[in-house]
Amino acid sequence: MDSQASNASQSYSGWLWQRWRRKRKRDRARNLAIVRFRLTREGWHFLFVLLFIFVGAVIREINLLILLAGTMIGLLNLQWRFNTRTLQGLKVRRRIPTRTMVGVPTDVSIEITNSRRWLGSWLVLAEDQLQKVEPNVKRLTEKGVALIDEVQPQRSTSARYELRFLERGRYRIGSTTISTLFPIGLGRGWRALDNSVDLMVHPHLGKLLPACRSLLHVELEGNAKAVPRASVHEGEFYGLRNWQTGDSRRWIHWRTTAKRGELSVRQFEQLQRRQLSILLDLYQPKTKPSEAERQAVERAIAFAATLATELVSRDRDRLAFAIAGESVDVLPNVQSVVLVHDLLDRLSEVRPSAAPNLVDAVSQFRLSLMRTPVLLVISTRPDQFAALRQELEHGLSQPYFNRLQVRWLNASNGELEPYFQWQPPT
Amino acid sequence: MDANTVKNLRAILTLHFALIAVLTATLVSYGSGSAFLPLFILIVCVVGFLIVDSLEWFALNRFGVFIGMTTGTAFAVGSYAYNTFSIASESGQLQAIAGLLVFPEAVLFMQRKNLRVFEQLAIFLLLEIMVAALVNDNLLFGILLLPIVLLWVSSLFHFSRYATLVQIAPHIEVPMPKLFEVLVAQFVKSIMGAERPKGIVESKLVSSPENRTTPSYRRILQSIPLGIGAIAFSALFFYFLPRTTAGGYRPKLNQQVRVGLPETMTLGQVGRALQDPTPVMRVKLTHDASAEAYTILEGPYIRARVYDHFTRMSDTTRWDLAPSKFVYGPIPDYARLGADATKNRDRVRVEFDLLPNCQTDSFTLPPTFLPRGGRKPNATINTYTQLLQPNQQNDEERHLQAYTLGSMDYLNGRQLDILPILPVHDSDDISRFLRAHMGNLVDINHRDFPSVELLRNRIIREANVAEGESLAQAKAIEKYFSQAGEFKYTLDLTAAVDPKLDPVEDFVANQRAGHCQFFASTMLVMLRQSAIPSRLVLGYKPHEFNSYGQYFHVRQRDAHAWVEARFSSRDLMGTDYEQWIAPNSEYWIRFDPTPSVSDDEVIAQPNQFTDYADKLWKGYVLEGRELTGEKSIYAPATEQSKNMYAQLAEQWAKLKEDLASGKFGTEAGAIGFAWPLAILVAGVGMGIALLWQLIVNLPRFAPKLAKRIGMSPRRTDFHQEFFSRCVRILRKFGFEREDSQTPQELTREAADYLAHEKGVESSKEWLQFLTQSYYRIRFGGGRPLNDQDQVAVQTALKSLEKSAAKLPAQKR
Repeated sequence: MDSQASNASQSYSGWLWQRWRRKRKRDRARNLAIVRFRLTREGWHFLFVLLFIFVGAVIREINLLILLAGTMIGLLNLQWRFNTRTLQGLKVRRRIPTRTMVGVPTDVSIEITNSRRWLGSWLVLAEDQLQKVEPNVKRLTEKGVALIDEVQPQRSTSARYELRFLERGRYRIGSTTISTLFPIGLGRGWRALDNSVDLMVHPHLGKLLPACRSLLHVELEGNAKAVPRASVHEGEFYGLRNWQTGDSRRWIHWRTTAKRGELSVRQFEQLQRRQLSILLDLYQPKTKPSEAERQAVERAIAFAATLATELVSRDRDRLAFAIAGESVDVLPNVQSVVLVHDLLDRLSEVRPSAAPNLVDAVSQFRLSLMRTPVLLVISTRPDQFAALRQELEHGLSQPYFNRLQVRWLNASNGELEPYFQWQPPT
Repeated sequence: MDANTVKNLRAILTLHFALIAVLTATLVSYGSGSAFLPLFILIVCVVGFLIVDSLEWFALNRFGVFIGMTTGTAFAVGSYAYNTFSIASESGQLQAIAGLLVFPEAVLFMQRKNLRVFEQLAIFLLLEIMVAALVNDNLLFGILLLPIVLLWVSSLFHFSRYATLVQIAPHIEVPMPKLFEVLVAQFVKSIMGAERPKGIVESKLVSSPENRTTPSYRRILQSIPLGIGAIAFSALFFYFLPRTTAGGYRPKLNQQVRVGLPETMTLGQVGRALQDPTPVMRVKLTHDASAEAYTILEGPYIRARVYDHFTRMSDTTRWDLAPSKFVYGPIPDYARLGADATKNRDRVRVEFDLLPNCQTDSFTLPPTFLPRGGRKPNATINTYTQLLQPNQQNDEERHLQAYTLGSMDYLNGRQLDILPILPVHDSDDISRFLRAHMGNLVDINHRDFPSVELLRNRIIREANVAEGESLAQAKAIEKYFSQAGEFKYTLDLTAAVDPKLDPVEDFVANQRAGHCQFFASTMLVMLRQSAIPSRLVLGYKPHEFNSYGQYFHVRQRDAHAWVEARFSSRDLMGTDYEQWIAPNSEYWIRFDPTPSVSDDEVIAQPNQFTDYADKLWKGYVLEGRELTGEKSIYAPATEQSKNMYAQLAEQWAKLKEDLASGKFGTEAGAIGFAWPLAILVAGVGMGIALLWQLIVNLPRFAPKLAKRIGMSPRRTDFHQEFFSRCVRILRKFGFEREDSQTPQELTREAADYLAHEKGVESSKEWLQFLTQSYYRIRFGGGRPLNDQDQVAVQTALKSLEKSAAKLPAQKR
């Protein structure tokens, strides 16, 4: 009996909860659709003069001033009506890539569709709020701004703006605010849209120098022959995605296309040739880091990113990657472009730490190291492997350590310079 | 962003503001008679536009602006002080006030333009328009208001674009920083110790060929309907704004009272007035019952002053109203008029529209009564002079700017020359006073006028009139002067006068030429010599008629003097006046001895359309008389709200009393609330709302019915405009897309039909290409077509359209 009562009360509270959620969703959608209006600085000046004239007209019974005040009220009224009407019924669509790179200009296109039958929209300003979400949250003063001069009724017009990021990370683009000063700039009408998307900004890549190639070649020689060659196919089947211009018709997956009603194509992974294990040790003192220390971290990340891009994307090699920063992240098999993107995404968001957990990283790395006992440590501090070895001895067997070849590169004292050329973007 | 675009925008804005500045300065200085300010600002604008904005040779820097503003303001203030305390020139004061706004504008025009400069210019120009409205209320303001508003709207159109561009890219202008901003920046720098940290994102607007800038001429064209809309709104606002009084009379800063008639008159004064063409008022006569225009055959005798006291001074003669107990009373209703004031007379309504430069006169056409409509004067009537006495004390309120009176002075379009002494039948006390006062009306020093006496005797003798027949004597004298031709009408008063003689005596003995004042004064002397009580009346006798407004336009040169003589009903028995007299009554008979001249004929007013427009402007805008008159749309509200505050206070007191005594709510039924009407209004409102909801929601609830009656919303068009266009073309051939049909199936079907039935083989290729392009965008991640594809799409569409145009509009 009690359980029945409690079930009933639970279902009733659940119903209430659902109802409240639906209402909140509805209200939110309604608020987003509402065009808000605010006087501009010029509008306030105008209103002040208008009040001055109107009060004078009423007190002194001067009809000409009432006429003048009426004209000014008419202008304000028209501003308000046009402002709000201009923005109602506009649909905004943003086109933006999901990934970009530090220092590389990124085109963002904003298309505005005017679904009204007869009234056009003019002077529409689309502003995208920018926010850095990872590795640290930061609201940016800069905005992505596109100006659309005119959108005719039942037409679409697009405008573009360009973003150039100077720091890696995950950025939130949006929400978009469309606003207009049309027609006479006395007030600004605006509408906020719920269309924010995340954009991953990958680290700025550098250039691998020939010394790096020769070094890697020597270390990877033993594994290169063991890799099977590519077959007649493009690679191993990896997944499905939407069809894009330029895709071969042979890649279309007709069954999925029929299911979804949209063209879908298969994706393939390229086969690897060589193997390498990389441990990225991102150490940064807890106290306020100096510019040089920050640069060292960025340089180390950039080197790792460049290595992954060059070796996997171009040379079809296989990497095992461990990142030891504020948290430990391990990618044991980086062997395709898609996985490189995944790695770069993680590198974009990674935060350095005062105490990177190298033990945990290497422990998670163990299988890869057993297969490929060549470990390249990219660090921001001097060689710590001796201490690390002592800690690891409990978990790993002696033969394993005997096979392990470790190369420790300290980015903070210029050990990367013979292998890597990199300039932070300005 | 293209620098030239911004520069052009600045130039257009500067031109707009320059035009507004010149027009507004013209309005401000129009009444002052000086063209200095408009010319000054015009020259500054031209020079500024060329040197500062176009060639960019020179621009005032911050120091220059400071010096310019200070100098301009000091000059304007000094000029105002000089014109106030030194030479007391109102037009000079006006110029100085306008200068206070115009000189800073000139400084702003010489600055390099930026958002802040444009904002300041706009504020100064707005204030200047306000000053223009205060000092210049003539029709020119109304005429120029529309172009000025259009220019304002157009300039604000451009301003909004400029402000938007500055918001996007602040670097497009380098505004001159305010001193305050410089200090704040210094303070922040000293506190923070470093410059602003560098951003981590750079954002840049990219110009897109698809997003073309609207041409400037389109913005100007767009501003026209908006400006007209603002004026229309203003008109609605102006006429629907509830008000209980008309616009008050306010003498303008530059306005001087220049016309009117004096309270004390000396001979020769009227002569000067007769050469002054300044407008005084407009007088319109209508039927009191129908409010239709009342046709009259000659200009009316409009009464303005009455003189009954005669003083011989050293070199002239002075006429004034003898100081005695004048009897004032309310202006009577028609019902209170006596039979002798209403019998055989037409009931006419007279609208007096006094122009602002007219002094505080009141004009009548007696017998006077309060008409049914029109603006009633807040005044009492002097029974003796039949003139009005305003009730208010101060000059502004005393001025009867416009008022309407009833008149019983006409019969069949002819003004009667007989006026009952007591138009109101119940004024016995007044009657006794007037009878006692009549003794003064024959007062004259006979020794001063020997020649006049001789002439009078001759006239009476030649007319064979007996000494006792006073009316016949008066008629004979009037006829002699107006018809005999021995005395000439002239305004040339340069002939030498004999200072030893009274001017009237001199007129008869020597001059024998003069204007109406001489003729009337001479006749008055003669009447008094004949012991006929008489008095001099001064007023206007206009002759310019405005056919648009059906009114007489009265100028100062229409001033006229005539004589009124008192007769009893016994004197008038057996004469032409018999039909208007009643037993035991007394009457004033008007005599006009002035010889008629050609100017007396009624003529069309020159520039009558302009004057009529000015009358409308005054009636509908400046004073808003038409807003509170009986024709006003809210006249009932005005009538209802007369004692609104008193009624509200009374109701509030009653409510408090009921609350205190516990009776509140017990007499709810006594409020008299119109429940049936309220229910009807609410019911109709709800019915309309329900009907509207039904119409809106019908497609949702009954889609088939909505489709059948054509209320179903159209299927959403294709997102790509080119394919929507393609579908529209196919619709002409009768191909409507079915719900179950894909775009490709539609175009394939249409292509087959066109190729096989109509012989348009190429249509297959065009439609296939269009469909493929559509699919590529729709299912290909939304990437737009490249330039080549766009050209190909347009070509295909045009070809399809051409084919459609060639084929007959035959449905499939």
